[in-house]
Amino acid sequence: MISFSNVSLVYPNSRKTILENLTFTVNESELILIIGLTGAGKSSFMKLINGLIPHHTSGILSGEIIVAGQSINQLKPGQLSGIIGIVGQNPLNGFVTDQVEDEIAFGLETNGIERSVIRRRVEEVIDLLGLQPIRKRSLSTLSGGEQQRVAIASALVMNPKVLVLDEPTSALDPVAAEEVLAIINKLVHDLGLTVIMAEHKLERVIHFVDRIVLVQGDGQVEIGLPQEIMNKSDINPPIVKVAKHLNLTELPLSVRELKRVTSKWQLPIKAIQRSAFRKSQSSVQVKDLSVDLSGKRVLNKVNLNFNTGEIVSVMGRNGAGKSTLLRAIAGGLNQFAGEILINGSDASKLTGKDLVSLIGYVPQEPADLFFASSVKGECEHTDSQNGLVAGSTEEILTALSPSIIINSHPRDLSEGQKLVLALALVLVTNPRILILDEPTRGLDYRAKDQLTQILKDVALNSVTVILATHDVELVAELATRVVVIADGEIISDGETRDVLTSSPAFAPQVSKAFSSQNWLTVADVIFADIKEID
Amino acid sequence: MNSATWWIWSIALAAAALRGGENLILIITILIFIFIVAKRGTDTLWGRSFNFALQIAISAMVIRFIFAVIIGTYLPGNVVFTLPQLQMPQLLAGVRIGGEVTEQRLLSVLDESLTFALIVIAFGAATALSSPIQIIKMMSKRLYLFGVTLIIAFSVLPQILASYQRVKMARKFRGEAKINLRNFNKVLTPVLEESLERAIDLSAAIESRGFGYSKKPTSYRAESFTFVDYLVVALSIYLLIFLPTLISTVGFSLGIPIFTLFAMVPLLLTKPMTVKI
Repeated sequence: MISFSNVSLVYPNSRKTILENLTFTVNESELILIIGLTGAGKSSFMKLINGLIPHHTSGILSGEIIVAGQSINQLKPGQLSGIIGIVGQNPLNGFVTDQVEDEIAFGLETNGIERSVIRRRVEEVIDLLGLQPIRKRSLSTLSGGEQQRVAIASALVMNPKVLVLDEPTSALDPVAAEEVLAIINKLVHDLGLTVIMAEHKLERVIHFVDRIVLVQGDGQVEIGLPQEIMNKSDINPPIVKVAKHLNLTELPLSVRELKRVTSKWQLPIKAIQRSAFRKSQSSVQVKDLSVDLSGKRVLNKVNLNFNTGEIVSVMGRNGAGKSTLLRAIAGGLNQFAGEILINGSDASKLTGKDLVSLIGYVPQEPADLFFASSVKGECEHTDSQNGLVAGSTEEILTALSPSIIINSHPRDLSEGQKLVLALALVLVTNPRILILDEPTRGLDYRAKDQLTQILKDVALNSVTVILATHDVELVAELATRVVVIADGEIISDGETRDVLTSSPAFAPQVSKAFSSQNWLTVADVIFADIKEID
Repeated sequence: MNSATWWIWSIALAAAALRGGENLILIITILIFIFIVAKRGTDTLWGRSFNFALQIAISAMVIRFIFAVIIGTYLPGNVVFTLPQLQMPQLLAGVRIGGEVTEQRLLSVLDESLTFALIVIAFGAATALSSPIQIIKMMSKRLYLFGVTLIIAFSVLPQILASYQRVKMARKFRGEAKINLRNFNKVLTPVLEESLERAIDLSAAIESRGFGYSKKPTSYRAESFTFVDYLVVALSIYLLIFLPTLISTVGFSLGIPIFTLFAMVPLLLTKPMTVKI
């Protein structure tokens, strides 16, 4: 279906090679997963397939890529629109029209397909992707999962032979992510579609992909069956980590496969102790908080209490009110009913220095905080703004991540580096409360591990850390407490171990695999020291 | 109804009302626009922009009235109330600050400001009722690059507003001062960088979906003029040409209801465009 022969790619004005002399073939109705660290070239790889590189974004390409018998070297992306459907990382950025049906029909319209055919095909994909209830809605009012499904529908409506998806679930809550992935799986199996997909959260996809392409970032690419790649690479989902620890000969890729192996094992050897939680004083009190945004009730009579040294993870579906809650605590909302007390004082009245010395807030897009033209500039500005000794911010930044080049432009940093820079900028004022809104979006495994370490260290200095995230595995590793919000109300609030093991939607892989135990992480399994019975 | 029909309808209706000349007709027309947008507007950003048009119209009227009461040339007539007057030097004899405010003056200002408000609201209504993308698709069949540029411009604008709000909040959390003219470029930097990224993403998406490669694009919706479109256009043009004649022949008390009925035809013959939530 797709064949790369001796393909090399470099960007102009860059010494880094993205791909070097790559030769491989994707067979018809194969599901290929592309993995690699952020910035390694996954997106470039995907843009090559429909010729966006080099025709739309510049790039120096050698070798030949043939898709369904046609060479992309000669054809422009638009001429391939009937063969390749491409869904970008942020579907909202790629929407051309403003309404669901119009968006789905757009590609067919521009290709001059007859109206009767358009109508039939639009109906077909609406049924296939379950879009009937939202077909007349405006695109800007859709939730993240709905947007992703509309984007997939508008690619599928062209009857493509290949579907290319760039991180289709990175912005979605666990339930919405499962929906989207189930649809992709169905397309491959029922329609025989060839799918090429990039994804960081391996635990969600690895059990149904055929082959994995590991983009190393130095021009080298490894291609192989999931088991082979998992053996070689250290980018592993929890299940594989557990299997590697247990020295299993055949690596299991899904919870089911691991369960089959370990079902005859003796469990547990050592019981997990409840983490002895130090009694600490209360730092944030939320009393009867209700928020209305554009006529809709987003939060309804929320009562919460946060203590110093806690790491609290706020979870819930897209649009459940997580971001609003965090913003209200941080003092970013002007209109709400109820009371929010931070160390006894009203947060919404704080501004300037008083605010930053109490609360550190990292928004969903860390880049919103940046406005200087270099990392160094950002640091210097923060020093002078807060009356600190010159170099303080830079010191914190290098302590957090020594690899950041201080003269680079903030926008050129990888997602993980942007987050670290944002953290350095807010941590320098020693805030008592640190709030992060979906910090894991677009982060690879390495960056997530780094984030976990940083936040744990911060919390040790009796700072209250509050974060909103969809990433169950990260929560299992990091949080001491989980608050689940649904429709603006708190539906559960308790210790991480209790909340995560009690709900199938939020259970991490380890918890699913050893459902009789209260284990959450690979470390728990290692601690329990389980053995096979002879 | 076709987006082009909404534009023709609103412009023709505004022009007809202006030709009719009576303040009552202007006020009725403004109310018709407000009512139909409330019933048939979309829940997109363009639909919501109508509120902005209303705000402009109202504030322009208020400002005009304040100025008319305080300054301007003297218009003789029935005095409504008198303000303390500032004595001007000989050189500026014609200019008045304060002094008598006459009924004639207030009425002439009402005429002017209603005219202005009507024009602003008519354009606001046309924008709110039509889809800019639909208009672009109609006009840009041959002008590929022009079409792409317009689509990007129309899509990036709402995003600029959203990211401005976000950056404004993010500044607060870095302990920065409120936005003013001097630090505005620091707000502009992240906003523009983000919209540039969005524009690149969008143009890649438009390209990948084959926009402009087919000589004859088709359409999913029945965008060609239907009977309803012809009827509305015909009625609008009839009102534009014959409203003064209509009023002079059948009289004011019958002319106004006929005008209102004809102007409301789009409401009677169409259904709401999108489901509001």
